[in-house]
Amino acid sequence: MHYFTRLTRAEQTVAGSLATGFGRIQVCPPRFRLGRAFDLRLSRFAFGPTLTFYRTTAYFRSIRHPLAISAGFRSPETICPPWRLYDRVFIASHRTNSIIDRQCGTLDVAANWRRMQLMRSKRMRTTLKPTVLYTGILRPLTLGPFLYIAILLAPFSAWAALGDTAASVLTDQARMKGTLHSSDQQTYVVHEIQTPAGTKVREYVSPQGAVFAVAWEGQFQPDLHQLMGPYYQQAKDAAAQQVRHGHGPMLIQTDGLVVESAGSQRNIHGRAYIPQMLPKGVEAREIQ
Amino acid sequence: MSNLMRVFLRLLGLGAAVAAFWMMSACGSGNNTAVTGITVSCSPPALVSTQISSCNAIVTGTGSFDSTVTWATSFGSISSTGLFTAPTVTSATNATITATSTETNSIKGTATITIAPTTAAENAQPIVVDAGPTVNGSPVGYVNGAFVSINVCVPGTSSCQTIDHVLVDTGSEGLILLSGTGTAGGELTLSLPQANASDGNPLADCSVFEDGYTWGPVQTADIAIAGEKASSVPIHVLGQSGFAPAPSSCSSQTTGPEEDNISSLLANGILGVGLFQQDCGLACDPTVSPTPPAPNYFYYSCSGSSCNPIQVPVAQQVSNPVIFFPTDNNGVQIQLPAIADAGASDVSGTLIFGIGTQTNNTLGSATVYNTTDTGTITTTFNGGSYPGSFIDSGSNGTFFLNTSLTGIPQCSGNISAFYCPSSEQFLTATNQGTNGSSNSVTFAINNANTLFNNNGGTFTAFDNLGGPSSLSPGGSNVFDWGLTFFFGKNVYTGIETAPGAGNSYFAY
Repeated sequence: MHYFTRLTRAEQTVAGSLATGFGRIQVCPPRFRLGRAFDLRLSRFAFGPTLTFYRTTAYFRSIRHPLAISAGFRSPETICPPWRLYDRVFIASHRTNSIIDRQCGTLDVAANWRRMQLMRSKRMRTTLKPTVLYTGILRPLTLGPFLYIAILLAPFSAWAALGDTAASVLTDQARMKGTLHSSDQQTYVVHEIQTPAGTKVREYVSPQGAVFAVAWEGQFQPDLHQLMGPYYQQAKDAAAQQVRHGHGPMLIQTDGLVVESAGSQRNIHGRAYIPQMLPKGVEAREIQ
Repeated sequence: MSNLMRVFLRLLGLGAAVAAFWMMSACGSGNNTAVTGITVSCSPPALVSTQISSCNAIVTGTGSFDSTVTWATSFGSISSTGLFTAPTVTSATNATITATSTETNSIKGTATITIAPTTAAENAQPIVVDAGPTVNGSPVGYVNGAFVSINVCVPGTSSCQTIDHVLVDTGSEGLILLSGTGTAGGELTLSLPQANASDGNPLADCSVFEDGYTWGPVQTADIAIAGEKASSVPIHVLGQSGFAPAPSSCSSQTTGPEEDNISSLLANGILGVGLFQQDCGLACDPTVSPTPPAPNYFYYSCSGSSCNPIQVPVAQQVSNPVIFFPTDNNGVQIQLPAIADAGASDVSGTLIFGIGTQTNNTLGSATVYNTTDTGTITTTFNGGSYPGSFIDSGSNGTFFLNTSLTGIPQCSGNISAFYCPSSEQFLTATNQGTNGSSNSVTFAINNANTLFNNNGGTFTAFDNLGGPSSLSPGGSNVFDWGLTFFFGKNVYTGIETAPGAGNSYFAY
């Protein structure tokens, strides 16, 4: 039984090379019961050596209603199957079990995989053969010219994370050459990127798919310009205004932005968040 | 060696004289030979431990006597040729040197050598906690800054310069000096040799601190502080005119400013005498990571104004100068007196090099708190446990938690970095090291606005100045025990014995 009457194409949005491409599926279910699980199955295209599949994430953005897709994201792995379950995608909403009529959303994946299937499974841990909902090939852009340009430029001008969409988490991860672990905190999703030098960066994504906070710790600080996007300059300007009587932590509180940095030379902690963007019920204490 | 040669020549000369005497007497009155006396002299007659004195015996006699002697000493050791080596002594000690005739054992000559204890390196340098270096005729207005003067020289030369108001910082490693050229406003005008990266280009350093970053060339200097000397130490120079500007991959590691002038650094330099041997350590060493770990860049190779990240062996990294001292090189002690609750001006203290190496730097009853490999201890307060805490003479207050967790309101306006309680708060926390040692610390927080206006606003030292380390729970929940913690204590910072050894500690 097909729940999706109109599954559109998957499109590679060319973030860097083919081996680190993005894919985007648009899904428009006619009658879509929330709280059900879908499997994302991916396959390597039939050429090249075994590729390391080293990141993925999935977001479902509804046009009218906030929806969140959470998934048990996998850490880097090297596999070469014909088809393999990559992620089990769970679509949820604050309005559990409510029925949403004909929502369209997008599912972003980033992989060096070239073929993908989105499948419906009856239960989260079903062993039943799932229904194939969609099979497609991640391929070069067929998006509109405007979007094409925007996305093509993205990897090069992607000073984007804080305040930006969840997709920027992937950009950050790619630039940091880090490993990504994600966890679902009910009201938001935390993506933790660890750089080769051990710095941990956590990005907090709201159900609306926006990065509302970032936090970091380690001997090295991450590239805050990248991580804070347009808010970086705002923080820098505010820091420059501060009157100083010596050296100590740096705390910035301006309209719409909080930035903190404290620690000794090999152990610096910091975080930045946009208070207005904190999801309902989420307190700043959860950002750490 | 030269002493040995001298003795040899003297003995040779003596031998020639004796031979001439023997030949003359052989031509004269037959075989009646006898040693009649021995006179011993040692040069120098007074020396300190481990030095060498050369002793000479003049043997007189009649006939064809044997002029050889055997050497003995009452203390220390003497060679068969009369070279005396002074042993290590703790107080002045005399050694009696005896030369005994080989031919007639009863005939001896003696001399006395006085051995003094080695003069210990002067390991104490005065600290002053004042308003900082002067800019345009008035001090920068530093509060709780521990400053020392140091002497830097072009390596191996007497081309030197004294630099005052260098901030003593147990929270970082390496000497940072602000250039006196261009607009930086520092004091360093000495032209120090530039260090090069492995690709032959000038090496630069990008150090990120909690409140900003420092950028500039790595140069080499001889450093003298108190009686201690460190030779050819890689140091970090800031604000040098004509040097490449900081690349964005350096500056974007913080939202804080580049601290490349006197108004932002608020000191002529920073003397990083913290827990580690180098400012970066193994993370920047090519044997650990052959390429710079993007995006966490620290060292750069600069060709013209273009700088690219590069790895640097620990031996060539900007280093804690203390590890370069021949002795007293395992840590530092900071002594600051207790001060009045209202504050004090121009407080004098002492920076002492070495721990347990001299009589003035023994640990005594101090408790040792081993740190994690990132230099932290755990502080517990009001039921909360805060790993990531540290003791840092370079922070100018006790910075901890935030208003929600402490109930202490933050100040507003220009002093929002501090707490402003309505009355002085007396608090207790517990510090714990990784070795399990754990003790409570009592500390006070008073209203910064009040403190800064005490005595007409002239005080420069407060033991009860504090502020938040975050703006709300969840942020940097640490205790940064700044200079406030040091008043009325002897605080020791023990340096790791090798890069990454993981055996650094605080003690107090």
